[in-house]
Amino acid sequence: MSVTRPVAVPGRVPAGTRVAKRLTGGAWYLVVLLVGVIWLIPTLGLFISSLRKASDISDSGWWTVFTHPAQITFKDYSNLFANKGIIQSLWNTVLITVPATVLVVFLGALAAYAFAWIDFRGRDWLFVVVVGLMVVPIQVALLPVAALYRNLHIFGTILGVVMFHVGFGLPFAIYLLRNFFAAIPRELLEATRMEGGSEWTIFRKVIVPLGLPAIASLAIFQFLWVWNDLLVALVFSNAKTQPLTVALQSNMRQFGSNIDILAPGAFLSLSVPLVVFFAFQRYFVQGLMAGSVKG
Amino acid sequence: MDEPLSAAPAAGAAPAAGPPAPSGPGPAPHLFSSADHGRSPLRIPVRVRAGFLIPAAVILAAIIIWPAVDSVWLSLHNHDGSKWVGLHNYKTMFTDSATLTALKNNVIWVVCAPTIACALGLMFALLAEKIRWSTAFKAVIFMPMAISFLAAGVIFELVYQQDPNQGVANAVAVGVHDTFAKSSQYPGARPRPNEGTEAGGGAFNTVHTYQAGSVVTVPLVGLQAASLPGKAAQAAAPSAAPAPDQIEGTVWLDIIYGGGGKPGSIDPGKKGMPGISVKAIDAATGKSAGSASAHNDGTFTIKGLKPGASYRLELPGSNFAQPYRGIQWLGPSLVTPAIIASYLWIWAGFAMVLIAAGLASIPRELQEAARVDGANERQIFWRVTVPLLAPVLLVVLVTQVINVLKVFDLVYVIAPGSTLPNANVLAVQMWNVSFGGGQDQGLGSAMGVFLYALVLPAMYFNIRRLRREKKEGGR
Amino acid sequence: MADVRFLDATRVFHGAWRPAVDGVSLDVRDGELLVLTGPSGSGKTTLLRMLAGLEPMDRGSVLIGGKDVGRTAPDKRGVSMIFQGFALFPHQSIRENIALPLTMRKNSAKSAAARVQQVAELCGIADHLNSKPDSVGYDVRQRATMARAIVRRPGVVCLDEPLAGSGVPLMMRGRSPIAALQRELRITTLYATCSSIDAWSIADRIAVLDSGRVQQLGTPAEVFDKPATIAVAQFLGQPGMNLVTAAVADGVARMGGLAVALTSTQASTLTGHRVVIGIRAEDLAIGAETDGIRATTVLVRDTGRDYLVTARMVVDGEESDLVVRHAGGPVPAKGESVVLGVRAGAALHLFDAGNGVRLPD
Repeated sequence: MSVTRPVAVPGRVPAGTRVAKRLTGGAWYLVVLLVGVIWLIPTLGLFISSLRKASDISDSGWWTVFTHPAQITFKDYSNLFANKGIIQSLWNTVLITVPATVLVVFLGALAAYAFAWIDFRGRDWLFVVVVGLMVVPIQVALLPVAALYRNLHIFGTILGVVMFHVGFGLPFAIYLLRNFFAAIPRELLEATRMEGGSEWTIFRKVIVPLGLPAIASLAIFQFLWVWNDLLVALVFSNAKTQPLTVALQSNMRQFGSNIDILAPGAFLSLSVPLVVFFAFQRYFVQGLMAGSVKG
Repeated sequence: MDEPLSAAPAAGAAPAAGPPAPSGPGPAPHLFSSADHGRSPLRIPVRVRAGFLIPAAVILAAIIIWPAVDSVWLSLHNHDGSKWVGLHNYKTMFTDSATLTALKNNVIWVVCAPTIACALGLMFALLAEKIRWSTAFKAVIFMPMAISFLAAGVIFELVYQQDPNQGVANAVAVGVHDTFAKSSQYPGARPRPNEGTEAGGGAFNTVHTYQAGSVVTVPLVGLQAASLPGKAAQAAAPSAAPAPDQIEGTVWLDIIYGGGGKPGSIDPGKKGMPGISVKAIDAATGKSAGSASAHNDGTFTIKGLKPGASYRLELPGSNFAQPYRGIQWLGPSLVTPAIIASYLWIWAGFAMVLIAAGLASIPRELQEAARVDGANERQIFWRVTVPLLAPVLLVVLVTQVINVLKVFDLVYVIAPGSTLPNANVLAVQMWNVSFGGGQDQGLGSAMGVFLYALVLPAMYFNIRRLRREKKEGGR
Repeated sequence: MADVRFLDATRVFHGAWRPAVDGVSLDVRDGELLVLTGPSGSGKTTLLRMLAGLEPMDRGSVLIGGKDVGRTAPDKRGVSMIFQGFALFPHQSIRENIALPLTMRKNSAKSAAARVQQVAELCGIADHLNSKPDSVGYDVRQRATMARAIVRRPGVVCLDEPLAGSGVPLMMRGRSPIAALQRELRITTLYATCSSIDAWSIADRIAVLDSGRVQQLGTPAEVFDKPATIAVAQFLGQPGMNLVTAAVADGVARMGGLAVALTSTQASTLTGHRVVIGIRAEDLAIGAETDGIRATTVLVRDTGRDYLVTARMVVDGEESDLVVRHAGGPVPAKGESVVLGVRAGAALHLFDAGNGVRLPD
């Protein structure tokens, strides 16, 4: 999280309260450690549970693993990977997430470039509309879009789910990228234009390479958003096209008896975003800061 | 970069002789002016401009703008859109008890979740300033942001499991409870029906009274022999002649593992109940006169009694209390707070990151100036830091309010079927009404429109912020 | 031949209350280095951008080599531009940056590479071709941007404030490789700068702009010695020319103790009864004589070589400040009364107080 940076600036006296004086440095570390542990425990619990047999899970808490390491087994995972429905839904998640991310980034970048650098009538007014669209709750669109999809015969298809994600991803994409693109020095665009570069050339050769940090932020955001989505897929997908979240959700009502699917499945579902998060943390935080008003 | 977003589109700009606009110095020149009178070598063909905008515009129109308008239309019709019903759906919405519960819960969410998230974020951000490896700390707090609500739901379903042997929340709750209130050794044990009476609070009194110097046998049942502590030994009969100021006796489990033996007699195989406490109650005054706890063989001796006086024996309820079973997290009364807690687990990191960035951007001189002026740490925090953070806090709050209004996944996933009605929120109710069995397009749309209306102030806030940013120049 | 001619070139920005460039007509000779100078906002940059094709014209035309290029696309005009801050692409190497004009024109890779190498050697940056712009020094970036400008053999090079904000000391700029290369290659060059010293040190000719109009066009010496308007007199020189208003009576302009006789041509072109007398700081001296301008010292600045003394005089209840370059002798203290005299052989400049135009000699 390099952008946040408030790591012990020398001489900086943090704005603490009187408690600050009573607690010595060591005590602060203890508090931090405690909070950190509290924050980690839920995920740790899921992870360990996913490595235990269902019978062990119903008998004793996951923490007994620390005294009985023999309980650890990968059987639930091998069962999970042998489960055709789950594997299909994992594949569906990929089929939904990748196009939805690529399309949002591409179309959003095109529009953002227009908003930043092409002067057209009503541009500012339109941009205000885009900003307004950022907070529109998806609930307001579910029913009409469902009807639209039925008419187009794409209800229940992956295409439908993807398009819905693209639609609701675009306002934020345009907002984030437009602000970043507008900060690219104009001279760089003109230097290209002077040599006969078309808009498309400028977009490809100047905007995209220089806008890469913002594009990366957006891509990560959109990826996480779509990968983690439940509601959109719940409405617009069917049994064949449902992503992992929906497949797991249908097992939630019998939580106790389905724990052997749910725990490894949920961990599988969160492991990909987690890897993305830790690999691209910097961009993730940047995107968050730039677009912190998205709902 | 002074890319002038605020510049009105330069359509047909006034030529040199045109009327002078009173707006002072004009905006910085645009790269591509549309005020080109067909003379500019830079004119961007309409189809090129359209090429950049049309794809996004079409999708936005089809997926957001038109549906938002259509929803209003649908909300004024009946369940399948065939009949105009006016505001009937809205009336239903505000009279239906399920929706009202959802509305009430939404209010709880909106009031609690954003403020607590902000407070936690602020605390964590301040905390992170005090330590050296704050990056790692922040990553841990922030990590749940990457996790889906569904996975978070599974995670917290596990955390909130009722059985303290499964759910970590109750394991902690029981642990804390038992630290302050000792658990009983023999939950559920009781005297044989004719040997004692219940005296309230789970305690048992003997039916008969005994004089000091006599012997009492107290056979208990209602417990599995296997659940006796390991140190329990073969029950022994009390000594035949206790001292005149004492009562002696035996408390034993009047059952033989595997069956056999005669009720009420200390047969081989029956074991004493070590540690059980026995009180002597003065039969005349009703006051406690002494107590003892049983040895491994079940024998006990209550000393210091008045010779000749008569006593009743009491086995206090603490011997038999059922163990504490923890809190019903996902029960009707706690389900909403429990889900809010899981929401906070996810979003506190968001607040923390934004607030930490805000803290870092506060010029150190301001705090130092206040310190030089004699302000103490607390005054600096409340009079300098917090006011300077106010814009960031506001952004976090607004973002969270928008988020919370639309919360769906967490509630839908975590709340068990039995308490879902208690945990209901508008977004879930909307789903239930429209897709989850209700199939009522009209009512569902009305709820969608209502949700939309609720976020409109946030939309206004965003647009105002955008305008201000533009005035400050570009970014 | 790449001579440049502006005819009545005019540009009005939307919402602006006056044209940014207002009916400019200007001839630039082939191979010449013309410096466009003037205060910021005077229209220099806009004029260059009109030439390059980056800015549309509301009126008038631009001719390059006698051909109207008003409808020619920027890349077909044979004009290259060096932008403020150089506009080198940070994600590309210096080599790719220099090659940009060739690659965009789809030259063959081989001929492009050869040409880039040749130009890089000419500009003295052949060793840095593989570096990224951010990793090399200011001088290399400057040379790289020049190399990019000349790589496609343009007829005209435009430089838009290339040294603004660069931190390059004013006095050093005359030796900048840009000027040196231009002299060597004899490419028609238009160089826009706010700094009158830049203009002074490298220009073949100077065009002084103010409020979107050309105030004067001439060699540096001409412009310095005979400024055509008050605006030019104020802008050129460090410090700018002292200007005081004087009343004309009986063919003589009087200002305090100073009297300047007007010639008959001067008197006949005068539009009012007042003139502005301009005296450069170098032409004033603090004297001991009693005959001269009485004034009070208000500020003394030490330039290192000499002193700039600001003295305030009061004529008819109106205060005006004069700056004197004072080289030798005792330095007056602040608040001290002094008598200012005009040096022998000094040039006095007379301007019409009404329209600011120089009166003929």
